[in-house]
Parts: sequence; structure tokens; C-alpha cells
Amino acid sequence: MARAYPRVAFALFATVALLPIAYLLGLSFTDRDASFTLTNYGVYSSAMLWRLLWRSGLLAGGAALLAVAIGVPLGILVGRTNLWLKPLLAALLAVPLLLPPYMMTICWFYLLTPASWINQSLLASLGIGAINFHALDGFPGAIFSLTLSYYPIVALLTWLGVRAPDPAYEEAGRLEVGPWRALVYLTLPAAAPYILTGAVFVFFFALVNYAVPYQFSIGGIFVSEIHSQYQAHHNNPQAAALTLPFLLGAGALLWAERRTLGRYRMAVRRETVSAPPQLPLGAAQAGALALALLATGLSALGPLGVLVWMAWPLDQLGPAIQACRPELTNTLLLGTLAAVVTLALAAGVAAGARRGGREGRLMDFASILPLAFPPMALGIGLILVWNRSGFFRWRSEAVGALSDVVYASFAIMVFTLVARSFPFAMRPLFYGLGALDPALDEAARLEGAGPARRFFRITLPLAWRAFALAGFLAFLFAVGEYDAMHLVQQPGHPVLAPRIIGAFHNFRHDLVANNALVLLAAVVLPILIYLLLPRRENRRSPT
Amino acid sequence: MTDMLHPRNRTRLVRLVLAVLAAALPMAACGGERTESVVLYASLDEAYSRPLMDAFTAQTGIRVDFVTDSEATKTTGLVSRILGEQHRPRCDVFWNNEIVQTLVLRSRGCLERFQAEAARDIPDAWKDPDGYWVGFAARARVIILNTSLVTEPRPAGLGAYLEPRWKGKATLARPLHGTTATHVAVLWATWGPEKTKQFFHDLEGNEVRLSAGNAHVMREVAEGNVSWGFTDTDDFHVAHLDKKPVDIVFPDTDGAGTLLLPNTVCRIKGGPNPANALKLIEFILSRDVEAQLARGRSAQIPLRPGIPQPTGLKGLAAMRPMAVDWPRVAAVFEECHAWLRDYLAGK
Repeated sequence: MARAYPRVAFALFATVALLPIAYLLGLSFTDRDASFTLTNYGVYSSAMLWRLLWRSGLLAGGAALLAVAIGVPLGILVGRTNLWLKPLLAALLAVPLLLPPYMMTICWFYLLTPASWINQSLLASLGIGAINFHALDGFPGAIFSLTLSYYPIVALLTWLGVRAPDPAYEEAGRLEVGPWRALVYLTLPAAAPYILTGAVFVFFFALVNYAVPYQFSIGGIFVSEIHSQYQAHHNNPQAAALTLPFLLGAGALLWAERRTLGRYRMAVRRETVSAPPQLPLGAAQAGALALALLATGLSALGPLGVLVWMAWPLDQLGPAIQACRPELTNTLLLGTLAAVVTLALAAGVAAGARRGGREGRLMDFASILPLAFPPMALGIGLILVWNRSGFFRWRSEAVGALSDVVYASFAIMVFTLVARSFPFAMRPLFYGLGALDPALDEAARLEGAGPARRFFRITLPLAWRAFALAGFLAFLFAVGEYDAMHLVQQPGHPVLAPRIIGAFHNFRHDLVANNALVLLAAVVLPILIYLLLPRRENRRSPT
Repeated sequence: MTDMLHPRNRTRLVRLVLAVLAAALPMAACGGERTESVVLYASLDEAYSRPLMDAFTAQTGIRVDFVTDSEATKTTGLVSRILGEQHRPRCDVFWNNEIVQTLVLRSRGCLERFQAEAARDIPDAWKDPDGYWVGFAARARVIILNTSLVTEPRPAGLGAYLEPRWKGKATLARPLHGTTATHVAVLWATWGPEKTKQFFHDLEGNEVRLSAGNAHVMREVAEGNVSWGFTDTDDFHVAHLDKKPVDIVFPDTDGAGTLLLPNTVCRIKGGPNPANALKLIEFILSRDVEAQLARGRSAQIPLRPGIPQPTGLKGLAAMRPMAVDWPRVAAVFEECHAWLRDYLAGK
């Protein structure tokens, strides 16, 4: 990789993702006439602040605690025990991550309508009164929904965490105590940073989510206040001032990640280290399996099932694809474009961050900022930067034309998706590139290989897993994005997510189910192709 | 070095490229010829507006690049856009599904006068005397009630929100967006600030629940979580079509009558395609479009005589519409909104 490339990539990333955040920060110190003022921060000395903090914290903290309560046992069961059906459960664990949270909420609205099978047959036969999901007004429903969307993060990190320590330590412990006590007293403390990191991530994902609280009519939280100040009151400086806690939160997020994953080097597990032994469940096998199936059933089988059931007999899937062709095309096109751009920029910034020093630390910290920033506020920042009312306020045609290239085209949608996806793509690349031996690149350089040749012949083949994961994550977050896209969506470039939520509110259940399945298929298609191709390779290998 | 070029690694690269290409396949379908175009911002749901815009394109050959509001932002989202783009307008035509935000745009100097031949049979009451906007196809602010939960006497109007028997059992959309914001501004202009403020304090006292929007109100009532609430006729009609246990009350007997909110169409000042904008406005204001809106799922109430009324709803002739001084409502809108902003902050 050329030495200058990380700086170029970081400059582009900063233009796309950091400029809107910085602009909002600056805007928060102005009044509507653009004069300096601190009055927008008056909210932080008012009683409203505590209400916002309490309600936002309750929502995000509730989701994080529940995610830990479900995710940790599930991660241990799948990661370290001889639980039956582990491959199936592992696959089901990934499903909620493929469903955008607003979709999870919609699925549960359908699963728990008063007339649903769960209420009418399942719960009634158990003598339990009907549950009306919509009646879980506000926080209970939103916390439930966010938990189901995000607990796999905790489960997957726990899974990694309980497999990360050298098995020799646990083996030594087993000489003194039983295998389960060894797990609890030796392995779990070592895995605690992973679990904590998962909880912190869930906390922030829930905190910045706008669509789910909106679906439950929750007001009085930071994201709803930012949205109201911008959309209803056209008070951009006040909206900007309300984003301050998220900037502070980004620091906490980075600290948590570095104190945990960074220290324990999750990505660098050498193949020579033997796999940790599986713990026998014995008589608890059936009970453990039931619990695991319950969790994955609630988060994966139930939502997928209700979508298929509502779209059944699937004969309308073809016409539905035809009807939403512009949205589907745009969603996939933008998602792909955003993933490619994100990958190109994230690779450069990750390489720069890996070089360390002040510059590397700056790149490292800056790359995580968009993760802790509400996507909806990011969308507001992008609009204000590029629409000539703010940053490009100059009337000069030449300067203004620069902003028009972005704002008056689908480029602003790509910018939004890149800014949103960047932190998710950057993390795997940061760790993936860190696992490479720098001597290889140096040797190739001494042999006269140019930057492009070294990248395509050394870096990419060796770190392809990190690149594949980064690209997929960027694509996944891009195609499911709603919070920012509903603000920046451009005329003539409709996308699927707002269409699905609009159809839900209009009782067009057929449209919701068909469009959701189409979106899901679009996300799963690259995975399926990827999974199918290695088998061919394996079949060829023996010959 | 040769290890790096091992066929296995090449295969992995090919896999990666194929996976990316698989996701990018639809790009091939994205090419398109350059045609004449016009940009429309429409606060009519995409499901209803797209067939109409397709029909316009088929008639004229002019492509309509349109963006609709989302449930989360409603009309105010599009108005924010137009205000933000004032220095370099992107939009040619704004189709607003209510009226006050149109008047706000006019007061901010965002609109251009126009004359539409198709509007000549629309009554003058629904047209701006200065020619900045034309109203058509209205929705009414009505009560949607759950037939399983509401017994006689039914709630008849806003006053029912304060009756003890409905304590904690009624809902109102958060009045910061959409037609509910307009409704409250009408109250502010009609009742005056003090009475309106007192009304909201009393609502809180009677534990009236605030929903995120009118669609939420409809859903809460249809699912039986609350007994009734104010919403728009199109939301009621959607629930009615879905065979939910709901009924409608036009608040004709309560106070000043039923509030009618017409769609309004206006031309954005400095829009990039002024000639095509006029053609699109003529199309939107045509009798045919108003008739289609009446027949469709949104069941909009025609303002012109001679167009069949939507089934299941009262026609204009059968209801007692509230007399509204729209310019006055627009004049007090900001003041009303500022108070609501502070009152509802953090709620």
C-alpha cells in the first residue's frame, strides 16, 4: 500500500463522515443568525436534561442488560459445550444481524397482534392471557425489540471470549476443580472484556437508534429531541447541541474497545493452539437446548416465519419484486457502491491507524466517531453541509457547484451510507491488517514490487477474510439503513426501507412481507454464493 | 512470493469478486436514457403518488423525479428540505397534503405564482387569491373509535378528551408534525393562546396518550389499546379496508364543525424545470386525479362538484365544515409551534 494512501483515504473519510459532525459541533455554538452563543447548551442545565438522560439511558441500558442476560449463556452454550444442533443455532444467531431493527419490530407487531396464532392458540393453550405487542407501550416493547436485534453481538463476542484464552490454563484449573467451575472462575473472567465490549456496543446501538423508539411513539429521548428540533422546529443549532453526549460517548466506546478487544487481540488466534475442550451438559442437555431454541426462535425463526407466512403462497413475490424494482435496484446499487467505497477508504485508514504514532491514534479515534453518533443526526449534518444553506453558503457559482455535485445527486446518499458503514468495515480491517507480518510487505518492496502489486499479491490474499467481512458488513448496514436515509433520500432515487415502513403504516401487509423478504434475499445472496464456491474448491482439492 | 500467488488464494479472490458482483447485478438494470424531467416533493404516500406520476409520464413523456415524506417526518420533513434548499432549489413542485406548511413556505418567499387552467372549477375558497397555491382533494380531521370499546354516547369532538370516562383511554398524535400540528394551530387561531394552552394542560390531566403520528393513533385504536383518538379520514379508511373493528365520527356537532384539510399544490420559486412544473401542476389539479384520489385507499374528499365521493365517508355536502381563516392560522403557526415545542420537550 502506498505510504501516502492512508492520508488520502483519511482525508476522504473526513470529508464524508467527520465534516458533518464537525459542522454540527460548530453550529451548536451559533444562534439562528449565525452569531456566537452558548444558549443552545442551556438545555444541559435544565431539568429536561435529566429526563433525556434517564429515558435514553433506560432504553439503551435496558437493551444492553437484557442482551447480556440472553447473549452470554447462549455464547457459552454454543462456544464451549456439547450442545446439540450447534451449527444450526450458530447460523440462527446471525439472522437478527441481517434484519434491520425496524424490521424486527414490524415482525413482532405482526407476531403479537390480538388475532395472531401465538395469542389465540399458543398462549391460550398455556392459560396465559393474550399479549398485545403494541400495548407494550413505549419502553418495554422497544427494549424487547432492540434486545432481539442486538443480543447476537454479545453472544458472538462471548463465544469468541470463552474460546480465546489458552486452553492450558483451564486444563490446569481442572486438576483442582470441575470443568464448569474452571470455566466460571478462569475462563469467564478472561472473557469478561469481550462481554463488556458487547454490552457497550449494544448500549450505543440502542442509544442512537431512531426508528424503533419512533415505532413505539417514544418521545423524550435524545434522538427524538434532535429529530424534533430539526424537522419540526427548524432549529438546527439546538439539534446540533443535543448531539454533544454522543461525541463524548465515542470516546468511551473507543476506550472500551481498546481496553478489551485491543488488549486481548481477538483476531490473532494462532491455528497451532488447540481448540478448548467442550464441556459436557449431561442431564441439562435438553433444558439448555430448549433455552437456546427459545432465544433463537424469538429472534430469528419467529420473525422469518411471520414474513414467509404473510407472503405465502409466495406467488406475489415476482410481482412484488417488479413493483419495487426502482427501490430494490437503488438499494442494492447504493449498498454495493457504498461497500466498495467504504472498503477502499477503510483499508487505507486501517493501515494508517496500524502505523501508530499521533497520526495513527487520530485516525483510530476518528474512525469510531460515526459509530457513536446517531445516524439520523449524521444525515442532518450531511444535508446542512452540502445543501448550500450552511457550509457551502457562498453564493459563488463555482464553489456552490461543488456542493451541487453531491447534494443534487445520489452521491449524498452514498456519502451517508459510507459514513454509517465505515466503523463497521474499519474494525475487521484494523485487526486483520494487524495480524500480517510487516516483513512480507517489506521484502516485496525491496524486490521492487509497487504498492498496487504488493496490495493485490500480498495484503489482499493474506487478509482476505478481513476484507470479505468488512465489505459484507458495509453492504449489510447500507442496505438496511433507515434512520439517515429517510432524510437524505433524493428525488428519483427511492430506497426500500422507507417504503417498507410506509407500507406497514398503511396496513399493506403483503407489501411489507414481500419487500422485507426481497431485502433479506439481497443480503443473503452474497453469503450463499460465497458459501457455495468453497465446496467446489474442496471437491477439486483431492485430485 | 510464489506462495502468495498460490491458486487457492486466487480462487479466494475470485470468490470475493463474484460475491461483490452478485450484489451489484442490479446495476446493469440501472441505465437510463436522458429525458425531460421535473422534480416533485410530495407528502402523499409513495404507494398513492407513484401510479399518478407514472400516468403523467405516460401522457407527457416527462419523467417525474419525486420524493415522498416518510412516516417519521411527515410534511415538515419536506418543508425543512425546501427551506434548506432555498439558495439553490432542487424542487419544482410541492404537493402538500395539508395547507399550513404551504402558507409557511409562502411567507418565507419560497413560492412562485402560477395559473392553472385545470383549477378553474375549484371553488375560490380553496384557492389562494394571490395565486401561490391551489387546494384540492381534502381530508377531514375525524374521530376513529374502536367499536368493541366505545359505547354510547360516542365521543363527539375535542371536548371528549377531557371527559373523566375517557381518562387514559384516548390518544392524540404528537402535534409537532403533519395535520395534527395544523389542527392545533387552527385551535390557537380560533380559541386563542390561553384556552389552547389550558386545553393541553387538561389533556395531560386526563392522561391522554401522545402517539408518534396519526397512523399510530389509528393503529392503537384498531388494535384496541385505546378507545378512540383524532386522526385523518385516510387513516380511518385504511383501517376500515383492513376490516378492523373501527368506526368514524365527524365532529360536526362539536364546536365549530369538522376541520377539512385540502391538499395544496404549489410551484417552488427558482425551481430548475419551470415549464415542466406548470405541466405537472395542471395534471395534479385535473378532475381525473381528484377522482382517483377519492377512489383510492386514501379516500380523499373531492372539493369540486360532480366528482363521486369516496365510499364509506361523508361527502362535503353532508358535513359541517369548520370555517377557517387560513392566513390567520399561518400567522400564528410559528407562535403556536414554539409553545408546543417547549411544552412537549422531553415528553
